[in-house]
Parts: sequence; C-alpha cells; structure tokens
Amino acid sequence: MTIEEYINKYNKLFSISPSLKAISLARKYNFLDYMVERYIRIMGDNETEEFLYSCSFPLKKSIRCNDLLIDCKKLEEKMARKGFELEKVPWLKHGYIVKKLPKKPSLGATIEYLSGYYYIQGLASMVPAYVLNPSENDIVLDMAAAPGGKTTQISQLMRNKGLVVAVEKSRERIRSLYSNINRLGVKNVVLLRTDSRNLIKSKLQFDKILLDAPCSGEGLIPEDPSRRTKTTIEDLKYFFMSQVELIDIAYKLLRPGGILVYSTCSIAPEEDEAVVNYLVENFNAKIMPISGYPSVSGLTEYNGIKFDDSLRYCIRFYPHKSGTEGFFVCKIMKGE
Amino acid sequence: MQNNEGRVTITRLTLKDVRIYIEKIFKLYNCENNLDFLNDKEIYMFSFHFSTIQIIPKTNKLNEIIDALRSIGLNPYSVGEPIILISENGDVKPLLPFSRYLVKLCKNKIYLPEKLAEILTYGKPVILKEAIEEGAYLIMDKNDNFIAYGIVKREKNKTKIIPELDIGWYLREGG
Repeated sequence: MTIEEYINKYNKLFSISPSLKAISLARKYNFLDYMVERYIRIMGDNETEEFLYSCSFPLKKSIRCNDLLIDCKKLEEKMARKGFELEKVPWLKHGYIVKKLPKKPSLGATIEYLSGYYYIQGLASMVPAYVLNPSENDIVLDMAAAPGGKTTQISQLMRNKGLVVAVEKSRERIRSLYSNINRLGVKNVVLLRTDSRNLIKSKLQFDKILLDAPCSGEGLIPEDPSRRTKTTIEDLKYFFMSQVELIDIAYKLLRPGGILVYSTCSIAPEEDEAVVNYLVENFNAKIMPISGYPSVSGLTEYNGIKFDDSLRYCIRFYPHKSGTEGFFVCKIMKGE
Repeated sequence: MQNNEGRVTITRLTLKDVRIYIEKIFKLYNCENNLDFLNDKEIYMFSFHFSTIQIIPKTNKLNEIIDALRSIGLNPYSVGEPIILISENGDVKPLLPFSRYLVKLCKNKIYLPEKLAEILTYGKPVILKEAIEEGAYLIMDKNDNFIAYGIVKREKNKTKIIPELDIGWYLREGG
C-alpha cells in the first residue's frame, strides 16, 4: 500500500463531531471542541475531565544528570549547596525532579548548567533514548534532533563510543543542537543539516534509529496553555501525513533486525498509533513490549478504527496518570 | 565557535598537520606538549571563510558514512568536538570543548571565587587586587569548573581579566 493509499484508508480518523458533553467540557477548560471529543473517545467521560483539569497545572521541572561529565551524587550535592533540591526519579536512571529552586540563579543559568552537568528535560521525554538502548558499537540515526536532549542522552548511554548521526533541517534549530552537543561534552556525533528525507538517496543503514517526530505538541498543554486552541483537525492531518512519510523513511534506513523508536510529545492517536500502524500493515515490522515506566498501553482502537493488536505494546504518558507531559513511545523491530 | 556550513570544504588531517595549531595554543597557556588525546581521534578541518579543527573518536564506519553523505551532496555541519578556530588572518583560538583537554595539560590557570566567575559568564571583565602576570589563562572557579579563556592585563595596581570566550556563550549565542 502506498503512503497515499494508507492516508486515504484512515481518513475517518479525522471525522469528529463533538458531542454536547465535549462542547460543555471544552467551554469549561477552554479547549477546542473537537479536541475534547477525541479525549472522550480515548479515555471516556470521567477520565477526560481528570485529564483536562490536570492540564491546568504546570509540571514540576526536571533535569537529566549528564554522567559523561559528573557523578550524579556530586551533582545533587553541588545543586543542594545552591538551594536546588533534587529528587531522584526511580524509573529514570539519570532523571531528577527539581523539588525546590532558589530565587537566583535560574535552573538554566547556573555554572553547573553551563558546564554541561545537566540538561533540562521533561521526564517522559527521557524515555525514548532508554527504550532505544543504544550500545557502544551501534551506528545510530537521530532523525529530528534539535534541540538535542535526546541526541545528547543517546551519546551519554553510548559513553561517547560508536557513532550518532544527528539530523536537523532547520537552520535556526541546529544552532541550539550544536551548542547543546558541545556543552554536554558529547564527542561521537556527526551533525547534519538537511531534511531526513534526503538520506534515502544514500545506501546508509543504521543499527538503531530514533524518530522523535515533529508533532502538534498536544502533550505539552500543561506547559503551554496556548496549545489548547492551537491545532486544528486539518493541522493534525498534515502532521499525520508528514509523520507517516518520515516513519516510512526511518524504516527504510534501518538494517534488518535493527530497532526504531518512534516518539512524539503528543497524545493524539492520529500522530501516534495510526502512524506506527502503517509499518505493521505494510512491512514485516514487529512492535516490541516496553516495561518499567508509569505509563498506559497504546490504543488498539480509536474512533471506530481498529489498529493492529500489537500496538498495545506502545506506551502513553498522561499528566493526570504519570505526572509527566503527555507523550507516546513505541519500539519497533525491522523483520530480517 | 560558529560553524561555517555552506560551501565548506572538509579535509582529513594527520597529527603532523594539526600539531602546528595545537602547539600555538599550548604555548599560549603554558601547557605540557602532549598530544596523546589525539591518539584515538580522527581529525578534520572544516574550511570556508574561516576554519575549524574538529575531532571525533575513530570508529570503523565513520569515513564510510561521511563518504556516503558526500556521495549524495551532503556535508556534515560538524563532526565530534570543534576544538580550534583559525580566522582568515591566521589567528588560532581554542574553542570551548577544547578546554576539557587543556585544563589537564596547562599551567596558566586562575581560580576565582564563584561570584567573580559568574560575572565572566556574562562576557564581562573582572578586576582583582592581586598582581598576576599578563598573558593568556584558563579561568576556573574554585570548584574546578572551567569558566573562560581569559586575557590578563595589568591596569595601574590592579589586574583585569578579560574573557575571550566563556561558557556563557552557550546561552548567549547557542540558542
């Protein structure tokens, strides 16, 4: 099936008529009607309100300790001396919640930050690199790499061995990626400014690929209230088409037996399960189970559309359930 | 610390090629002449209006990947760590990632209290009462963190430390 045929087949994903209940909740929490109707179809009435309520509160700040440059216990002590109270997150090897901050300096301006000892990063957004689990011999592709949180984390997990090819097409955003790579003492990255689609012209094959796809950011509403009314259903369809195109390229650049991790900071099934489902339907792709995180299973049905059963192995994070940003992670193995 | 992507040319260098640039910096900061840190690295020069020297750990597939990218008309934006900037007039300057190697090799170091070190991270000079010989120094804080490449000047009875490139660059220019 071509990408175009797949997109047409799943066009019903984008037919949403808001119910009275959805309209009423949308007014109450200042969301677009169609968004709330989708949440009801994902979570049911009661949980939808719990979710909408949780979006009114900003998330706790969190950091990833960069043990390429500092022992994490030492970082805790250094930060404590400056008035930052860090609490280790049990399910993230390098993740900390910042429980208390001083008035000065800000978390993003300490000498420790500038020295690359930590990266300010959402908790759920640390998960994809752990799920990818790169080894010191791997050749890894990071397909939409800026601003570099996940690229630098991948290098950290590889102990600066092997090789990471980090791709970013935006001239603006690659500056922050370059800066973060250098700040965090990362040594094993080849940085490329291009559209990942161009790589398909090469004969390159990667052991592991991270596609943290450009998305609507529907999981970041607690951090950015403007997203309650920002994304239209047409925008969502545009993201879906572009994500299917990107995951198709990612799969083609993966060696047989290789691992692809697909993630988004969105809870939209249109940007998540519906995208991964394209690989399962069209290729010999196998969804792998992920465990050890305070997440819920991926959806196998949405808006009357059935996805492959194995999509339940993907994981979803919600602010009201996990205390994190909304996020989606899926681990896919390419058939031999 | 800028990158000169565009019609950039990328050349692989040998240890012999790069020695002249590194030794200039070693001399400036009074460093032990030890190039061991380059033993396990590939060395590249990226050149356009100015040049940067960049180093990356050797791996089997590195050159294969760079060649594959070139074959489809793509040049890397950067490779590993950029360590040296060579300006059009031939000036040679260390870049921030190089500091992680230089602090282990160089003797010209000044340790400052954290409050003064913070001022340098805004790209601003600091004045000390102590007499320090003029020259180029690695400026550190009391916790042994590298803060800046600095120039020391004597002014009347005081010492002025002028940051040439400081870690605040990451916030000001890095985005």
